[in-house]
Amino acid sequence: MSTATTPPTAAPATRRRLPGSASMVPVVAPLVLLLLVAALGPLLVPYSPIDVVAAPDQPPSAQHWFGTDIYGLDVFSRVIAATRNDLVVGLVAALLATVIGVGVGLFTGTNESRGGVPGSVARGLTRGLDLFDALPQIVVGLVLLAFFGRNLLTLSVVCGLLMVPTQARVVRTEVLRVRREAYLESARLSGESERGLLLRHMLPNSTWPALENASYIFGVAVTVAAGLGFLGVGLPPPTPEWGAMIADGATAASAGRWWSSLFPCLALAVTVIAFSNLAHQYLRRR
Amino acid sequence: MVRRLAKPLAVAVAAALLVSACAESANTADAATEEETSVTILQADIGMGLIKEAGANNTEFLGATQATLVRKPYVETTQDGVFEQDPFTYEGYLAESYEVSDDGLVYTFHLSDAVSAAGNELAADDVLWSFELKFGADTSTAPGAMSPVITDPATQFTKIDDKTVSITIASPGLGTTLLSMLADALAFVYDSTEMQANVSADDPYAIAWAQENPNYGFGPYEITDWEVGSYARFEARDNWILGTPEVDVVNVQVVPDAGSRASTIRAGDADIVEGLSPTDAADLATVDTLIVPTVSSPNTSQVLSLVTNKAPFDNLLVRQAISHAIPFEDIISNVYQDRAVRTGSGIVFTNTPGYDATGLPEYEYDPETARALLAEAGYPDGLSFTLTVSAADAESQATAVQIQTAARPAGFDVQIETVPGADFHTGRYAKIWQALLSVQAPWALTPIYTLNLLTGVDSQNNMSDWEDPEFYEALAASAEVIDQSSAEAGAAWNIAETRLLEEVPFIQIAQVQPGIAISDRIAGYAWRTDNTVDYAHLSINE
Repeated sequence: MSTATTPPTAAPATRRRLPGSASMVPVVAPLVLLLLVAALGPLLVPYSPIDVVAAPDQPPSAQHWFGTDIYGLDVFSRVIAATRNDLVVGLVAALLATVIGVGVGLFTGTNESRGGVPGSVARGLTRGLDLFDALPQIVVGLVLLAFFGRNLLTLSVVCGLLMVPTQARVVRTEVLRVRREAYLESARLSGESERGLLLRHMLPNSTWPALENASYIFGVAVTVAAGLGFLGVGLPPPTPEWGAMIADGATAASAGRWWSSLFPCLALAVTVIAFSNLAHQYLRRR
Repeated sequence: MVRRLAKPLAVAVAAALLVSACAESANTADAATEEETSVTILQADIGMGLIKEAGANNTEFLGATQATLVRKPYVETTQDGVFEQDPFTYEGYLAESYEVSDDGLVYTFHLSDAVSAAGNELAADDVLWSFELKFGADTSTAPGAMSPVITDPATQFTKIDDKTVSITIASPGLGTTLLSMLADALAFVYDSTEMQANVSADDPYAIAWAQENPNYGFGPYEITDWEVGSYARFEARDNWILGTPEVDVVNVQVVPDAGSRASTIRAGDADIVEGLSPTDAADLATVDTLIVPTVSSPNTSQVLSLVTNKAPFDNLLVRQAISHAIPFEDIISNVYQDRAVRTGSGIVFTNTPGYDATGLPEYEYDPETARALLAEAGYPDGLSFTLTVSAADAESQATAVQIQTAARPAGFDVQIETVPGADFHTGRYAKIWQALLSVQAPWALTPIYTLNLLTGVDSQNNMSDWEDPEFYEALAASAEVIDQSSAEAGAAWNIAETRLLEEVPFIQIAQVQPGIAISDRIAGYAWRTDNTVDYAHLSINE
């Protein structure tokens, strides 16, 4: 007579179902449109977004749908062209923040309670992230850009680095919860290695919130980039970028010439809302 | 709950209405009495340094509280109620009169009985001590700015008696520049009795004291109240040497945003606004109740400096090429809304007595010529360079965008770099950029001064880092001409200016009209080469 042991089973992953496609159309459609504009827009705009094409401060007209800015650049062409730059910033920042944040969150979550060097490092890292997160993002961004220089890549990287603590904290919280799950103990008793526990069980079960949060990170990164552009330390002029455009038109707006600030403002708002809505709708449907 | 809140809410609203009805207008921070006349002026946040030698300072505030030995008289313009300085003649102010020795080297000033705000009578010791301060204080810019006219006050200034001072210069041709400098903010004469009573070991020239106690001068006004970055209130002095100013009270308010300043005067809530953008100035010029002055020869210029200590502008052909790639007319039209002029490529003011433009090189926008010069310089495929501008200078940024677009067909790939204002100042004086745009406004308009301002040896203002012995020789020769308004002097400057334009270390793009708007309630605005408002010349239209 033999007693068959029940082989260890993988932890029951929390299934995430994508919501019904029909109900997601209002959420996804703006994002698709934005991506299309980013990809094809610069090819379709009526004027070069970086060349002087008319007298400055012209109001919206048939020739210049969104008017011209203080330099004589076509605002419509620049709003469209800026979509690519700002989306790149947002997507790279979200990706970077998520990848690094997941790694840091996993490490700190699994090692904080341990003794020895790993525990000390994990605890120190957690406090360090708290301190970094307490600093004003714009100020830290200014310092980092002054150090690394200003171009699309460095701006994206800086915005991503600023959001790492947020993602790391989300993942760490999940790790601390998942660590106590019974299936983990079961897997350990079944002989699963620590590495296997980490990669097969803890990683897939604790990183999903960070992935959901990535769309929120996107919106924040675009806003931070716009803020840095508003302060004059974003992309070099006349590179189209919504924040810089808003800053350039701010003084004119206070004198009644509203168009060169309003349209990039609207574009920024639509983009941030669209990406934030994706996360909100997705969380609600879970 | 609504009923419970209704009564206290009604009381709160009534109280708010009562308080606002009784409150003074926000636009008169310290309202004048009914008998007093007052003027409200809006300024950008340009600081409130209350002594020239402290470094950062507010020249307009100092002009109201301080005074100089001589001054440039005001002449009427074609605009009603608007005057402008005659920058080439001088009349007595703190000095009742002056005379010049036959060899043109010694200027003797006879002092008036002016009384300072602290109650002390003007004396020769005030003049000597003031210049000792200007050349002794670490933070003073006078030594560089006054060279080569005044380099050592200790030897050049002589007290003849309590009311007489003489100044000796090295060359007779420097005389007109001396007078021009003595008429400007660099040469304020201070009440040395008052200041010396407040020196200390840490503050040997009472500069820190003066920042907190601004009424140590002989000017027409006293500052009676101020808050840094917010406002300042000036009250007229009855015992000013030139008589009591017509305007009793001047309230200056800081409004950082140029568009807000424009909106405020359009709404009638200010009398004078300064620091307008060219677009706002052009816009306000169409308003019937406002006057936007246009002067005959503005001294504010947009200048492109080509730094010659590094590639690519260490190459003369490249410098000449970029000179043909600047869209001068487009910049005047698009950036300055036609509120700028270009009277040729030279930098000597064309209304200078004796001016001679014979044979001066001229640069116009000609991309084909620029491209040919670039090819000759070894750049047949064009070249890229970085053009640096201050993030605080909107007009320079707009000019840079115009240049970037227009220079492309000429073979130049212009990369625009904006840097924070403080970094821009540091960088331009350290000459680290490849090329930079800046606004220059020489106060003295004499040819020797303007030719020397951006070209001085080891001078911070020599942003191009260009030093040319042939040019300096020509400049020195022009300083030997005694009559600086003569054709002989004009011919001498012409030689120096020709050399400068051939070498083209910098390009003067356009002379810019003042960005000021004045309510038609005000008369007496006088444009000055220091681009400040002279409160003592203002009056109220009946």
